[in-house]
Amino acid sequence: MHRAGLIKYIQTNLLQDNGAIDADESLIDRGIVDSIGLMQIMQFVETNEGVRIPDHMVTPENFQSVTAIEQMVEKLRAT
Amino acid sequence: MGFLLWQGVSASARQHPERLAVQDADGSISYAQLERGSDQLATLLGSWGIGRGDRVAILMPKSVRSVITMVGTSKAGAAYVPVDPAAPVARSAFIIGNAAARVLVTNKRLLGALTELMPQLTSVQAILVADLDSADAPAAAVATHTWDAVTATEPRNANRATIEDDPAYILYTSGSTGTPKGVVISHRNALTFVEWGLDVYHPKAEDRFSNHAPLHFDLSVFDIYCALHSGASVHLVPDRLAPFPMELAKWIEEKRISIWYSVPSALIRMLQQGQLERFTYESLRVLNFAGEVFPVKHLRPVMERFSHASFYNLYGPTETNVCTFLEVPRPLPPEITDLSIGHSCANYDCFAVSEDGTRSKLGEEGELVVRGPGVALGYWGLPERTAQSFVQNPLHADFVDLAYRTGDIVTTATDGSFTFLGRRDHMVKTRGYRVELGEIEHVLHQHSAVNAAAVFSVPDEDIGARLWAAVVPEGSLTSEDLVGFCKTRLPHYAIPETFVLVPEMPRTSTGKVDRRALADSLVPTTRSTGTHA
Repeated sequence: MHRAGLIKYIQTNLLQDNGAIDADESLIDRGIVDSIGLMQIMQFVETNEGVRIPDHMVTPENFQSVTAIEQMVEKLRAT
Repeated sequence: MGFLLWQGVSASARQHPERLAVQDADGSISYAQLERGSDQLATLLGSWGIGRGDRVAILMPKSVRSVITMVGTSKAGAAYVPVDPAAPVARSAFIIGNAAARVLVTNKRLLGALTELMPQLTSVQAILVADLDSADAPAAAVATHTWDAVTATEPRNANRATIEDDPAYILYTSGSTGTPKGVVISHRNALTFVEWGLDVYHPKAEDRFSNHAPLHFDLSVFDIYCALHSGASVHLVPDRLAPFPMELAKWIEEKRISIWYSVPSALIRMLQQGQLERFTYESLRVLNFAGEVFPVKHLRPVMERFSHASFYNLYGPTETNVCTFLEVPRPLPPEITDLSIGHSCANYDCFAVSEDGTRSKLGEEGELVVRGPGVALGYWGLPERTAQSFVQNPLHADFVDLAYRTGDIVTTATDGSFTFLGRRDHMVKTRGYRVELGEIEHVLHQHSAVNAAAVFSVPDEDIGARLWAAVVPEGSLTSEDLVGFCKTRLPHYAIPETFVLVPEMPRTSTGKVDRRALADSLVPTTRSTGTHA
C-alpha cells in the first residue's frame, strides 16, 4: 500500500490541527475516524489501492491506525 | 414532579439507589454513585463561587463523568454547555468564550489542544480535567484540578435558589452569520420534553436506553433524562464503535438496548453495511429517529430488521425540543411514500402560518410556528437574532405570547398532522446535522485567495444533503487548499464534499448569488433544493 499517500490524504483532509500523524497512532483517539472520516478513508483506499473492503472488515481494529489499514489492504490483496 | 431537571434524577436515586444509571465504554455507575458524584461536583463548584447565572463548559468525549458533570452543574444552579469534542479547537474556543463559561470540564488531550487559545478565554477561572485522578494537576495559567477534587469533596445540599425558568443548558448550532449560536434551554423547556417522553414511552427501571447522539445534540437530552427520570439505565455508545455499523448492530443486541434514538442516516448505514440479519434485537421495543427525513424505501427494511420495535418519527429544531411526533404504523401501508412529522406533542401548540400572517388552510403551504413551555428562552447573547425568530404569536396581539418561527415549510392534513416540505432559508440537514450554508461561506470568504464563494446543497437519499462549494479564486488556489482551510474552522460534517472553481458567480436579477443556477450547471443529473434566495 502507498502509506505516504494515505498519511498525506488524512493530514490534508481530516486532521483538524494541521499537525502530523504517525502510522501507529490511533486514528479514533485523534478524532479522525468518526463516521464521516471512516467513509472518506474507505473511499480513498478503495480508489487508490484498487481493493473492495467488505462489510465484515470494517472494524475498529482494521481502522485503528494507518499501519492497521495497511495490513488490512495486504490481507485483501492476498485473498 | 420537580421543577428542575436534576430533581427527577435524585428521585430515581432515592427509589433505585443500587440500579445501574449510566454505562460508558470503561465502566458504569449506580444511581447512588451518580447522586453522590453530582452532589460532590455541585458542592465543589459552589466552593469556587459558581452558581445561578453561571455557565460550565463540558468539552470531552462523552462518559460517565460527562453525565455527572451535567447533573452536578444543574445542582449547583449553573447551566452547562456541551461542546463538540470532535470540532476544530478554534470553534470550541469560540463557544466557550461566547458562553462566558467560568469553568471548563475537559480531558487532558483537549486541554493540550486548547493551550494556545487559553489566554483568549478570559472568563474561565477554573479547569477540571476529568480523565485525571491523581492529585497532580497539569500546570496551567488557570487554576486546574483533577477529578480527585470532586471525589475528595464532602457533598452538601443542592443550590435551592434556581427556578424553572433559569437556563439548564445551552446547545450551540450552526449560525448563518458565520459563528455558532447558543440555544438557551431552561429547566422548564427541557422538562416539558422529558415529561412528554415519560408519558409516551412509559419507561420502566428495567429499560435500557442507548445514547448515540453527541451531548451537544439535543437527541441526547431524551436518552439521558428520560432514562434517569425513570430509574432506567443509559448506555453511551462508545466513540470507538459508533462509526462501525457491524459493531453498532452487535452492541445493540449485546447491551439488550430497549429504547434507541438516532438520526436516520445511522440506521441506514447499519442497514446497508451492518449485516443486521445476524441478530433479532428482541429487547428493542422503541426506535426513535429525528434530525432528517427518513426515506421510506430505507425505513421499510429497517422496520423489518428491528421487528420488535415501535418506530417513532420525532420532529423539532433545537429551539423547541421535540414538538411533533408520529408513531409509524406497523405494518407500514404500501401506499405511504413520504412520512409525515405527525401531531403536536403534549403541551405544544404547533400551527402553520401563511406569508400574510394568517393560519394556513388545510393542504396549503405555511411556515411551522411553535408555542408552549418547551420553546427555548432564545439565543445566547443575541437579542436581535432572538427577536427575529421568537416572535409574538402571529395569530393575535391580545397579550404577550411568544412563539418560535421554525423556518420549516409544512402542510397541514385534515387530521391535523404536518408534512415537512423544506426550508425557507439556507439551512440544510446533512447526516442529521444542522448546517447554515452562510456559516461555511463566511469561512471561505476569510481565505485570502477567495474572491467569492457560494455553498449549495444537493439532495441525497442516504444522508439528506451533500454540500458543494463554488469559489471564484483570486490568484492561485486549489480544492486541497480550501479543504485544508475549512478543516481547522468547521466540523467534519460542514466541510463541502466538492469544491468547484468558477470564473464568476451567476447572479439573480436582484444581484444575489444564484445558487440554483450554480447547482444546475455544476451538478450532473441532479437538482438543487431549498437553497434559492
